[in-house]
Formats: sequence, C-alpha cells, structure tokens
Amino acid sequence: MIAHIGIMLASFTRPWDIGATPGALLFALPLIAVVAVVYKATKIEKITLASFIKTSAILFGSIVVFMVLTAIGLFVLVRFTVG
Amino acid sequence: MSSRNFKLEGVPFLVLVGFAGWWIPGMGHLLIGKKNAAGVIFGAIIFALIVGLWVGSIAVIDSHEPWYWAQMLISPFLGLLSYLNGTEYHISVFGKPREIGQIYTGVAGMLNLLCIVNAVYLGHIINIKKRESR
Repeated sequence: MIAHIGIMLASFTRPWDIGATPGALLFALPLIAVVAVVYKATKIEKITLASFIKTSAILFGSIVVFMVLTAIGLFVLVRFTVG
Repeated sequence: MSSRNFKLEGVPFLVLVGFAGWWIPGMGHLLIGKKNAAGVIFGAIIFALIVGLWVGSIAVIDSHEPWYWAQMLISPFLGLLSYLNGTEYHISVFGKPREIGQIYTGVAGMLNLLCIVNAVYLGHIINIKKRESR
C-alpha cells in the first residue's frame, strides 16, 4: 500500500515526454472543462446535478467552438498576409 | 440564499471568507453556506492542479518564474512544493511539459481568485441582508 502511494507520488517528480505535436493541443480540453465548471459554479444560484452538467457542457462546447473558429481565422489571416 | 449562523459579521467575516478561500479552494463558499458550489470549486481546481503537476512535475512551481504568483493563488501550501524542489528534488522541466504544467496550475490559481472574489461578494450580500432584517 505504502509502495503504491510512493509510486503515485513519484509520478509527480518526473515530467511527461510531450513533443510539440498537434495532439498536444488536446491538453486544452480538460482545462476548458475546468474553466466552464468553475465559472458556472460561481454563477448558478442553486446547483442541481442535471442542470449544472447541462449548462457546463453548453459553455464548454461554446468555448471550444469559439477557439476553433479563432484558430481558423488566425490561420487564414497569417496565410494571406505572411504567406 | 442560505447562510450559516455566524457570530462573526461585517468586514472580519469577509476577510475570513477570502482568507479561507485562498488557503483551501472552495472554503469561502462553504463558509457562506453554498456547499455544492464549494465542492465543485474544490474538485475542479484541485483537478487542474493535479493534472498540471502530473504533466510537468513539481518543478513547474518555481518561485523564480512569473507564473509562480498565479500558482500561489491556489493556496499558500504550493510554496512548500517550490521549497521541496529547490532543496530536495532539484527537478528541471523544459518545453511542452513545462508550458502545460504552468498553464494548468496558473489558470487554476486565477480561477481560485475568481472564486475568492465571488465568495467575498456573496458574503457582503449576506451581511447587507442580515443588517436589513434587524
């Protein structure tokens, strides 16, 4: 048991091996979920499970869609200006 | 809005709410009676902290970096991690793991600041309602 806890704690002393790949962008998704959940927790007067999950999911989706659209817009802008 | 029957009122109550929310994420909301919000805030911020530390290691908490001040907004306990890394472990992290770790922990800190401000504001509203009901 103590050995397992030790192994778990040891994983916080060694960084992951992540390259500058497109897949690394997927790390943004859990962070966007955290932002959506915390924001909704401060805004909703009374938190009930179903409605809270629904509103947080809608906000999460909105943020992801907006970020994708912004990325596409910036890509097009850079393509047509810098080349 | 429900509230706990605190003897402490006014500015000292607000200071306690803010201070408690800084030391333990979500504690400020618990003190003003919002248990569900407190639980959600605690879980979400600690999740972001753990993911950031897991990806980047405890080396992402570096007192020489500007991100440190955002990370410390999660809790002053994080200073202990920076101290541990400086004295015991001497871990270095570079590149994408460092970036991702710092962003996760920094954003978690800034979200906790939002929650602290929110809890203090709601505590202020409770104070006003208590005064009006007398």
